[in-house]
Amino acid sequence: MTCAWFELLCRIPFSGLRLRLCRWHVAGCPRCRQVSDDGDALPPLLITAEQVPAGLDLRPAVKQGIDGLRPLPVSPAVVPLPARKSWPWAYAATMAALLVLGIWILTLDRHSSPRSKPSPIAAKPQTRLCSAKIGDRPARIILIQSQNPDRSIFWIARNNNRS
Amino acid sequence: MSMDDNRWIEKVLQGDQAAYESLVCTYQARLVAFLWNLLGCGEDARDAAQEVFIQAYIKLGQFDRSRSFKNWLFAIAYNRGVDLLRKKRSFRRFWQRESASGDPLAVEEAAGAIEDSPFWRPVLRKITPQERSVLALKYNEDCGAGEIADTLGCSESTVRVHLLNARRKLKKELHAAGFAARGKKPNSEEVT
Repeated sequence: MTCAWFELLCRIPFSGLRLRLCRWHVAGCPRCRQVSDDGDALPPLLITAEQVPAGLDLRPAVKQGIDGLRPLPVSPAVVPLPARKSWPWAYAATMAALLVLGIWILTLDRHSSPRSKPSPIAAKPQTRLCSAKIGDRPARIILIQSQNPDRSIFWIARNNNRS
Repeated sequence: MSMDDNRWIEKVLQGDQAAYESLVCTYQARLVAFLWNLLGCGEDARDAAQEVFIQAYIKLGQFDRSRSFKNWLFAIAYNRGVDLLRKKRSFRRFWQRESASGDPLAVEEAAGAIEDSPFWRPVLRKITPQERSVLALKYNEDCGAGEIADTLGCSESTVRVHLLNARRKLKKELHAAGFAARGKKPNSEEVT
């Protein structure tokens, strides 16, 4: 059986993070390594070469496919690429970028907070209509929102409230 | 790598096309079994294996002979298998989109034609193609973590995680299905 840590890590919902953490754990956990190396009996679910029908012969089809073809010329001696060791740098770069982004957002937020910068609406003098009358009776005033900030539209309606 | 493989490869590269048949003969059943486990369909596995052998023949000149031919061949097969599964997924998505406006019966028929086979057990569906490949290489080909990593192009730790995860999922599924105690053998599907 695998250890409790592995079982716990397998419950992480994000597959990328899960694989990364599981890999990191398995690389350092002798118990999990042992379990993965053991050839524990597996129920016979997998198809084996013996189960492939004996009459199967791909040679005619392959021969037909490669007829007239030639293997590509032998490539010069293959020099294996050096093992990729760039991931610590990638992490460091990502972390640095996140840090810079965080500082930038905080600075931006401070500069643009409502206390430090008055809103354009507050800065402008506002037109207010306190009361209106139609004939001798007080009327209702309705302020209509205009798209033009320099213009205020008021709708004055007869007050039908008889109470 | 085995000396026999090396000898046959040398002959093929010298222009002896018939020598390639020996390599096909050696690996065909194992390759079809591997692809069958990966794709879940015998017909697809046979077609994919043919393509893999043809592709391997064309690229044989680029094969690094310090590596194992078997691992190289299985790596081509793995990439081809994953590619086919991706295409199948897009095809299924396409049909699902069509089903919103089209005839549902026609859609069902088309989807069934590419997907289902008697062998494709629901239990194996629960594990990812990578995990199925790791299991097939471990149990059928008796490969170690290093060899599997070389074939699949990933790290040994990743192979171990896939292996542990696959076993964990299978155990859970089999336990739920009551298979573990009985150890029932699957029905094999005829490829011919």
